Amino acid sequence: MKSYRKLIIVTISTAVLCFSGTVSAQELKRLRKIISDEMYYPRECRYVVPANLPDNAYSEEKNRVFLEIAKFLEKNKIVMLKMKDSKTVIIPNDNIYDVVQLNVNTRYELISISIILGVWNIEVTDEKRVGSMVMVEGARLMSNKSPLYEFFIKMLPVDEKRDYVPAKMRWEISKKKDKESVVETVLNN
Amino acid sequence: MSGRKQRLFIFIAITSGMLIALCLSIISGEVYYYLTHDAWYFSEKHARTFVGGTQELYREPFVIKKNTRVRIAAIGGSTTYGFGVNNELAWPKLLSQKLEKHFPGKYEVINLGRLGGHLEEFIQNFNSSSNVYIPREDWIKGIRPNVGDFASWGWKDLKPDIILLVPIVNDTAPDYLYYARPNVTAKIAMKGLNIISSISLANRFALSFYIKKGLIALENLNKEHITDNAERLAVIKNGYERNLEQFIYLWSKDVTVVLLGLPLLFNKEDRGKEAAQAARFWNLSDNKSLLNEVQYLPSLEGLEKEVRFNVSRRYNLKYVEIGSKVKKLPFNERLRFYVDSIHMNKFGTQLIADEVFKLF
Repeated sequence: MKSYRKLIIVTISTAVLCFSGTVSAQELKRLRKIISDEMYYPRECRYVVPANLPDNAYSEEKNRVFLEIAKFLEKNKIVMLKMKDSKTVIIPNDNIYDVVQLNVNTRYELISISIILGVWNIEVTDEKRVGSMVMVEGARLMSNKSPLYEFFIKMLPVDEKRDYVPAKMRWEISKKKDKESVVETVLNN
Repeated sequence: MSGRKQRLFIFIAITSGMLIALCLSIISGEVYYYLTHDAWYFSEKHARTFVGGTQELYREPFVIKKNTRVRIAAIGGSTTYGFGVNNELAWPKLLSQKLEKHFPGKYEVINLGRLGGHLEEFIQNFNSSSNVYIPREDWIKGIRPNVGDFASWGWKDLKPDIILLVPIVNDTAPDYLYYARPNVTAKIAMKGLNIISSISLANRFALSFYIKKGLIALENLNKEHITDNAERLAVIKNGYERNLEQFIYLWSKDVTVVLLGLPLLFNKEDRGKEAAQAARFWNLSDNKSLLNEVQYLPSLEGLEKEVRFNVSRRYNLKYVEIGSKVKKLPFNERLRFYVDSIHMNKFGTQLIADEVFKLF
């Protein structure tokens, strides 16, 4: 009789545990979808370089990095560099759209190039409810890394590098007018 | 000195004086250009003819002489050219591959899409293909290819059997942004610009460059921007319809013209929020141009659709708005088909090619 009772208790406990686990996994999946929809994951990770260097909108240090990147792209036959009016002008080669996107004005003059470094995606690991807000913890990950990625990361200054490497993340989800709004924070990496 | 001799002397003196003044102006123009641009005008002019890089006029080479295959000419702007994707993923190329797979040896597709290509330019290319790229903004101001800027062949020499005509955005957006109503002085300046542009010899000198600049300035100063939005759209609509009819009219009845529209990213309901989201998606720090585009592109797209529909009815043409199902998607899903607010990525061009293929 005792053993029957034990069996029933173990069975029920296992069922409850499995059920709660499933709910939690399903909830995390639902939250991940909300974050993905609002923050556009998966999406390409891009680094924008102005087409004419130096660009007065940026610091001397930043322009130095831009120029170094441009020279690297030239070495890899992605762009050509030409000097015009004491500026270095970036001229993209043909059929490079899988690594670089061009940003042009209405005259089709090149304003900047966006270097594609990979694809950002996310994973969510935990959720916590604070009042009506849901705090979700997880990480952003990089998939489909471009062949340029490793070199690129080495070249960036430390404070900028943070924006282009995987990191722990926190998302705050709140409801505004029946629609979820998401605030994203990059935690220390 | 007799009166006749005196008159002749005065005439020769004035003519020589004018010639010397002209020569001096030409020389000063050249020198001034050299001093300000660090290059002689002639060498600069040559460089402007070939924009280079990805802005070459046609996406890939083609043979002008027709073979035995059914020749399809895809005519349009940057969306047909395949701006934003590699050539292998431009929709005319994908269409060509698909046709070849299903009907081996039957069809040939030529991509005549040009960056910034618009109907007035297409009309020009019918007889002689232009070797230069002139932005629509400059075209509106009256700037045209110089006499020496034309190729020895025109689109008519390709003798296409089917034309897939995709006249989108470039016939309306620059007009919306830059068109202004000219008064008499502006019209005279525009005429002057046209004349100078057509004189081959004049275009070899920097002087003509400065005269053109002066005429453009004169023209712009004597234009008034149409402030009433409805009136502005009506002017654009008329121009678009007129040019579309004119281009279709150029082709003989043996050529099948299929009129196509392609979807733009923003819908009428979209606002600044969507523009900001698009900027985040593409990692653009400056979303000013997107904020503008979300305001005016949907009305221009609506206007274009209306004209395409009317013209297709009038000329009994096959007409399809390709990719309409993309327009019905929620914004975050729609965004995944685009590289910017106009041009589609590889998912978009595949979708276009698949839908165009269904027409065969």
